[in-house]
Amino acid sequence: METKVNNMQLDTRIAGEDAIKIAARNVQVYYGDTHAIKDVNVDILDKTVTAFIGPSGCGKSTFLRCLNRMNDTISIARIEGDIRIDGEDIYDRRVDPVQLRAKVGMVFQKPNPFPKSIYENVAYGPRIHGLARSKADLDEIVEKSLRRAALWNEVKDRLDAPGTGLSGGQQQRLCIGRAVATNPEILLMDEPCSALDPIATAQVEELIDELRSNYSVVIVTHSMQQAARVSQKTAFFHLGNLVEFDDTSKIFTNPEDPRTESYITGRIG
Amino acid sequence: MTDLSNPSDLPKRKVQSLYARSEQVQKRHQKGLALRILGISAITVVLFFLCVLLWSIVSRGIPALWQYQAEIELYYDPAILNENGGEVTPEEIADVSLRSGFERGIYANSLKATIEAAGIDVMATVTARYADRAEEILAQAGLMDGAGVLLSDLRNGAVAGGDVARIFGQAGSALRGAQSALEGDDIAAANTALEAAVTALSGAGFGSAASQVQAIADGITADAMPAAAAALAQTGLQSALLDAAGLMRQPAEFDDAALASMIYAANRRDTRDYLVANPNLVGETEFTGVPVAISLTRYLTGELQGRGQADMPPGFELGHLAMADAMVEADIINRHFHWKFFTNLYSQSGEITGIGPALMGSLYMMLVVLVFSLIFGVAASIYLEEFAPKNKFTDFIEINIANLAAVPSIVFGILGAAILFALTDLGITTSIRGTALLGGFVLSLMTLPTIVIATRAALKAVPPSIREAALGVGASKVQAMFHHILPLAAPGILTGTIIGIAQALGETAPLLLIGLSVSTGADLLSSPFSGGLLEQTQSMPTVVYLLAQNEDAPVREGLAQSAIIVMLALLFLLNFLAIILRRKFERRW
Repeated sequence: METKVNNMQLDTRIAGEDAIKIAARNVQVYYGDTHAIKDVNVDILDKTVTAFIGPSGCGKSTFLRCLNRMNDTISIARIEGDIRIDGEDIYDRRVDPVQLRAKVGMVFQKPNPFPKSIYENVAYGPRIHGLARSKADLDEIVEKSLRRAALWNEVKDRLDAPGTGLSGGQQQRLCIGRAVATNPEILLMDEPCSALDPIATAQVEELIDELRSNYSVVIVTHSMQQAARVSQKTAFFHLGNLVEFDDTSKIFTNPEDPRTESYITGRIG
Repeated sequence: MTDLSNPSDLPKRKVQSLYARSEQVQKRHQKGLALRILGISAITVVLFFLCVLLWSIVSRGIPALWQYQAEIELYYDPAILNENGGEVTPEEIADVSLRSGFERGIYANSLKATIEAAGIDVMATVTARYADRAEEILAQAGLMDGAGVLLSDLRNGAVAGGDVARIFGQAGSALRGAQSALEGDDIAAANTALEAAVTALSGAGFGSAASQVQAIADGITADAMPAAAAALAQTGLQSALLDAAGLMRQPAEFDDAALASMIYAANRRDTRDYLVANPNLVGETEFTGVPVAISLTRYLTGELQGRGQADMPPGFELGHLAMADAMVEADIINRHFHWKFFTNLYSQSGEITGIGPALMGSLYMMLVVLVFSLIFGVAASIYLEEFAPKNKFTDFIEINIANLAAVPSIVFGILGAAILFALTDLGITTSIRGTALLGGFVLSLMTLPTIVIATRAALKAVPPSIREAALGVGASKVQAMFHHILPLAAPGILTGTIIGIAQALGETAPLLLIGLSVSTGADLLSSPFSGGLLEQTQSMPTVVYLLAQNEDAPVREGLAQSAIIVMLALLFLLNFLAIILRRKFERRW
């Protein structure tokens, strides 16, 4: 597997480009009477890995799910404010969430491949979006996606085998392959490594770093080390507030807010 | 780090061996044991009753499927089919009046011919049986001294039954005269009558009886007349002789009609149609199994064992029994598997009744139920589960679907009846009363809640991660549902559907209200695609109900159970199908 050298040095954590991909302004999320996200403002850059960290229940996953309108499926959730992707309001009435989700792929906490073959798992997205004109096209997309997910070499001989039969780390990479198969611009990852062992985690992290070259990646993680390893930008959430958002090196070496410092030094959380 | 300053404050530990059970553990064990005993006894009771039920059904239903049939050489006599003689054409057969009873002639003559060909002398067989019976009666009264010779002569054919009857009758009448004279108050008349009786008895060779009567006559006084009357009645001579005389008159009455009544002549319409379809059979002989009369079946199955003449079915005499025994012995009456039970139409007559239309009707209704309730049930469940807004109105609907599952089935029947009335009011003349369509529709309504509840449970059981995964790659809700969730829920939906259909198959009450019980003349249905759904039909449970009400025990206690077995077999088949489909649809990983 060819990999770009990632020396995991904090001082190299600089954002690739300054183009703002996602702009969130005054975002409020309510679950019934609970005010889960309070007034969050954040700009997420293109070709950058942005990490959301914070203690459990701080709202980082909730905010992540606002970015591809997955919260729409929860009937009691109510979202206010303004989230724009490339300057377009994703909560505009004209926006079809299906189209949005093709643009904003998502990887979940628990690997959740469809109970179908590996091939079908990856091919499903392109098929429903009409991305492939022929079987050959589809084969190519599947191969490209699996290569991008660094899984191709392991599964190329058993594409008809069930996706659920893979190991946990392979399943998660399959899910990443499935997510990139629809050719998204943004990849949202909700604690993608929390169900994986250290080796699988390392593989996925390496993958995330590679994906940066093509996508804007947003990752929610409980592990500060992981945030430090893979991200260029880090946002610290606490009790529904976005406490601090800055370059990862800055957050981990010289945080401005005392709450951030307490958290990364292990005093709260 | 402990707050206790003094180690002696620590609680003293009792030394307790692990081998010895503490009181508490002992109690727990007792409770566990009690629960286990309770469980096992509950299962035993359930199994016991299940076995009793199955046994009572199988032990009666299975033998009833083997029907007693008389195998006769059926001769389609042209003389009967064409009274004028000469050639019989199909047109003429079609014109034969159904009122002429031509089929009786064909069957009766053929039966007689078959019996004679087997070497059975009808008159001798019948006479012998009556003679046996008379002998029993006479021997009881001590009259065999005079009757013995007569009866053996009768069996030999040396003397006719009517003559014997006259001899017994004269003696009996003389005794009856003496009896009534003794019950009067004229002693002279009584003496004369008694003397006449003695003369008659000794004249007929009943010596001991004559001396018995003589003894009563000798000691008679005016005061003792009632006592003498009682004594004479006590001898039982009069009733024995009169009964024997009655029996001896019977063989002469056992004519061809009585013989023919032993078999069930096929429905005259069927016979005519059969001949019209096969005109070359006229004048030919066909070897056929003809069901015996249901009364005869009762006798042959042993039901009439030990019953007196008075308890015999009407029109069924000792002669019939004698002939039945002879025919069984001659291998003319045999038991055969009753295939026609599955194809015959329902009839009041147990000999030819069948479950053909009912079986078809039930299958058609299940088809209707499957289509209606599966489509509507699954659609309703998907909508409620995935798309419906959660508000008071949908809550109300949900509660009512659950309530609907508990509504007594007869209420649905009333709904079906209401539809019938509404259609009549609208002036729709084509009757859908008693059709598979209406029956299936009513049963669908009844099955719908079961399917909705099962489907919703199956949809809920699909892990939400699958839904999220599908939505995450940009599938719409509908795509997520039909591509991922529904296939995963299919086994559960299938199970629910089959349980619902099985329930519908056994439902009787609603069908009674929409005319499926009274459509007793229902014919076999045509294909469901060519209007079979709109024909009058029956259903299995209603036919079981009708069979179980039949006046003839072999039908009530035999064929009704056979029909139940067919129904149970259908249910097992359904369940088996469910298992197969589940296996097939269940994710292979």
